Amino acid sequence: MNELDGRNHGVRDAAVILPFAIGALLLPPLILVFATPSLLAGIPLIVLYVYGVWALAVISAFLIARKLELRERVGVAEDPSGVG
Amino acid sequence: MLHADFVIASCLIYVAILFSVAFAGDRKARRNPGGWLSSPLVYTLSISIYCTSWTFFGAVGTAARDGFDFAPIYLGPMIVFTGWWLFLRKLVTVGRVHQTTSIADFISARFGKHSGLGALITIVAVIATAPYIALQLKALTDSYQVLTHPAGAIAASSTILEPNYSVAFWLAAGLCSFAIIFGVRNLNVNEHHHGVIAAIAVEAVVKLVALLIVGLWVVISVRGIPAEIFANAPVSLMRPADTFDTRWVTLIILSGIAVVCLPRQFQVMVVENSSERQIRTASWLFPLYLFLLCLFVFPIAIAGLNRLPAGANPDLYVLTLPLQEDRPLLALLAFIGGFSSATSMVIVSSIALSTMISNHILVPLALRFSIIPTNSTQSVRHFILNTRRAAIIFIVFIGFLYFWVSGTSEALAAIGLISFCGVAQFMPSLVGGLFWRRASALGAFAGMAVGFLLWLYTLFLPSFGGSAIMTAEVIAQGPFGLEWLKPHALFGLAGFDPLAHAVFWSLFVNTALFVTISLITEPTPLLRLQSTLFIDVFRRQTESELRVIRRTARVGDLRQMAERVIGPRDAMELFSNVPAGERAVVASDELLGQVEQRLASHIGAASARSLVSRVVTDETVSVQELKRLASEAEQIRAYSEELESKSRQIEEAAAELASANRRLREIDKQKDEFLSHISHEVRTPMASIRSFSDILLSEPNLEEERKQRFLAIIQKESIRLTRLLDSILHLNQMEKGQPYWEVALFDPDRALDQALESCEALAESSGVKLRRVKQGPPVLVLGNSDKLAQVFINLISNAIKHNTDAQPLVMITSVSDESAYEARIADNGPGIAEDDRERIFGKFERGSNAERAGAGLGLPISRQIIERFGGHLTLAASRPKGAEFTVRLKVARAPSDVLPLRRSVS
Amino acid sequence: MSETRLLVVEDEANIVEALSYVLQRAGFLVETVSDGDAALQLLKRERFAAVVLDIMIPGMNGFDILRAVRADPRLADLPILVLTARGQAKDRQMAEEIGASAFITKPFSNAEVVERLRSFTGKSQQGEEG
Repeated sequence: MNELDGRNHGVRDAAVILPFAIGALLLPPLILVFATPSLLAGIPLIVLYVYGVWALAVISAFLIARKLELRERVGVAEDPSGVG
Repeated sequence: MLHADFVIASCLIYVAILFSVAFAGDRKARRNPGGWLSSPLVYTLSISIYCTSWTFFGAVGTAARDGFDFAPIYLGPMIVFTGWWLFLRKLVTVGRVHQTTSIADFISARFGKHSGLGALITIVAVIATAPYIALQLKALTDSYQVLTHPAGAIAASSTILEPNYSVAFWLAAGLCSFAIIFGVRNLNVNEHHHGVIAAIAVEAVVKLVALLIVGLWVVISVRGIPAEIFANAPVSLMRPADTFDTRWVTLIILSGIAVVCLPRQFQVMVVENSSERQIRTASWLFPLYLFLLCLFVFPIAIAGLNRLPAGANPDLYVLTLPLQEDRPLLALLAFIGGFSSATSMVIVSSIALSTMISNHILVPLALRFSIIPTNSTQSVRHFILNTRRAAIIFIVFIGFLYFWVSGTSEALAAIGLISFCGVAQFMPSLVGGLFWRRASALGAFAGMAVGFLLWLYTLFLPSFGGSAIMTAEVIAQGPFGLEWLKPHALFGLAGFDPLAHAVFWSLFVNTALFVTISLITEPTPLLRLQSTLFIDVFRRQTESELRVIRRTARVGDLRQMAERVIGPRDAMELFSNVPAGERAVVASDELLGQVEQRLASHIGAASARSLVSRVVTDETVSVQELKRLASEAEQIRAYSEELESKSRQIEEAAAELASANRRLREIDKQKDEFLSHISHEVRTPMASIRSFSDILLSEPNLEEERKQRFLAIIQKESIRLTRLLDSILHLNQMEKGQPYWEVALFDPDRALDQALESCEALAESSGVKLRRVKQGPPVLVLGNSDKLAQVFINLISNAIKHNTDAQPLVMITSVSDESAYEARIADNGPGIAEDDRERIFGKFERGSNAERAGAGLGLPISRQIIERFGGHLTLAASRPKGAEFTVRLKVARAPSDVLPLRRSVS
Repeated sequence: MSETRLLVVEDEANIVEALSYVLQRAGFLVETVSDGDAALQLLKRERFAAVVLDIMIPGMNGFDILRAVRADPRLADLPILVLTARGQAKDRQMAEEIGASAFITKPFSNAEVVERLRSFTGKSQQGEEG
């Protein structure tokens, strides 16, 4: 039980942090690091970066959503009000 | 080119498919509302109406002109959706629980069902959305005209075409009928527009597939080689650092706000939501949808720049590229994709806005001016449904009108972002309403109204590019030449992108007013109740749990009113629990709440409230409940603080307990030692007594002299034993605080001299010299002379007995002044070890190196006696040789000090 | 036959007097000492048939003397009668552990002390009986 709670907290924290992390990656100053005219395999670095972060966001959101769903299935009985 | 008839036929077939999907969806929903219709996939696809024709055509256009400038419009929503746990989850849950009908309903319900707020939001939404609808009509018309232009698409897209308004008109009419047929079938918004949503989902798939196919075709045509795809990329893509400026940040924030606040987004995301599962899936699926939609934006844009003539309109590359390469079917697919994105946006927007207009403007007005016909049960329903139909026609017509008036001007191109900024004015109230208890209706209203005006002034009106409403001169120099009022540099804030400038000012002032006014206004009971219901949505589910406001109404009146709005069948169901014969009986608070909630899902919370109020005969606010509600948050905080302080107290208590335990153990040890000492002290004289009596008994013929000596020893030891027992009892009594001697005024020096006398014999036998010194005048102290003498004897005899010096000496000094008397007994013996300095005052402690005669009770008893006299017995600070004990007593000076005391003891 | 010498280590003058009297009457030659350090020196220097030892004495206490005596191979077999006012069981246990030959608590029976010392020294009953 406790272990499950601990994991839940981890997932919830991740769910809270994710938008801020993605936001930070896509806003200046961080994005300016990759805003160089260099090419990687013929593709501008910035294009790879922005689409890469985007894909990363999709994958992370997917993983978090799946874990939260698992948690809901397991945890409904023990924690009816616990969504908040 | 494609023949117009062919294009129209294709469109009609496509529309027919949409109609049948919508019909099928509605029919299935009537039989089984669950199933695929409420699947997270369909839900996510419906959210993709965010991507209008502005995306479908415009993203490529923007990418071709400005590189990455197209992306933030999708990155903002992506971030908001991946952060669904923080905000969207709560928003959607509140909307679902409270059966919200629109964003206007949501905000007005939160702020005490404030009808003015709902009306304001509706007005802002209509003004911001109408041009957006016009933009869709223009995109549709443009794409149709380019596709069917007799001179070829390239030529068409390179020239400015006179819009074909008849095409636009028929399109608008068609969209109206679709929206009316599928959007206004039922009053109850909460029954969801399953048909529309199903059709929208199909359109979402069509536009994605169309764009993906065009993109894949472009990539394949250069054999997928990245270097070739990105050859001759837009300049800004090769100098990307310039892109990520204030505008980039503004666009990400603005689009993140818009994906929530746009009325159509709120409609599909919140109003049509039926479970948390849907939003959870959308949290990653919608970002994925956006990702796929944007995947080929650069390849298409670069291909357009490379292959099409320089003058070709980048906004139509998606359409003109296939035509250029002679792929008419691909072009038709692209056209259908654009058609899909435009039509779905117009349909959902008009439905969402019509609900808002009907619930927040027309119904309240009708209620106020008693326009609603009240003679039959069906008429109210029909009235409301008709207002919605009219509202749809009105909205689409306004859009068409806007398109017609603005014509070929550039005004439409930027309208998407301008519209975003308009609806962004809802955001502070929306967020504040969900998370901030103090947020008030007046604050929300003032913030939104001023934000709206600022938006109008700094962004919307200037977008007409110098029309009659706002001339070019005003834009350039400010009204009446007032520089600080320049729309694009308000209050001198110059040098910013006009959009960033407007977003900043409108949202900043909006938020500031919202917060400030909320802080200074006192919330109404209803507002407090609503704010708790919204903010604590995950803790409470129904209003009935909170009995803040108690209302009474006659059941009959209530039922009649409900029947008019929701129809007799639903009303019967709603009132099924009320016994038939009790129509005139007063309705319970719970029933009133249920009825109001049901009405709210039809006509919005504010209108429902005012409708119910008409039959309510009595309304009382429970101050106690209100207090409870208001202070709940504080209570929780206070509770946790209390817990903290409790746990601190417990910790302190535990520490105290531990130290008490330690002390107890020490006392226990002391007690053991005490008993051990007592035993030893008793056994020693007993041993002599026993031994000598043994001798006396076993030797009756003992010579007389010896016999006498032994008997004397026995006597002496018996007395010693008695004294020992006496002093134990004495000490015990004193510790219990029972003085048992008489108190009188006496000269302490006399007691000292008396003690000295008693000890002279002992001193002589031990060879110890006694020296007596006296300083100061004779004084009187209060106490018992015999007891003080006993203390002195004890101290002096100790000093004699423990003195092992070759020339043992004991100094007895007394010093007195008018306030204190001090006697010092000092010896030149071995002294007292540092460790023993306090211990010697404990019972039976005689210092570790002094296991000698004496019961070890002398010093503690002496100290007790002196303290009882109000004085102190102390051991002087370490000396090189010997020990010095000091007895310090207070001098009783005036007779007045003495007399009452004497009386008290007599 | 040579006289049997005993050492009485005791600081309480009355008890010393009583013991001396009783033991002399029992035919022992009695030396007394009231200080622990002096007692140990005496024991190392001179031979005694047995020792009567108090625990609570100035200087080295009885237990320390006992330990020192048992540590000395020449004195390891010396019979030592501990005679103390410390009557607790743990004192008796302690004394026996570190090699007391007998343990008698004060107040004591003269006869018992004499009896024990006789058994230690093998000295048969002689002299005047009282």
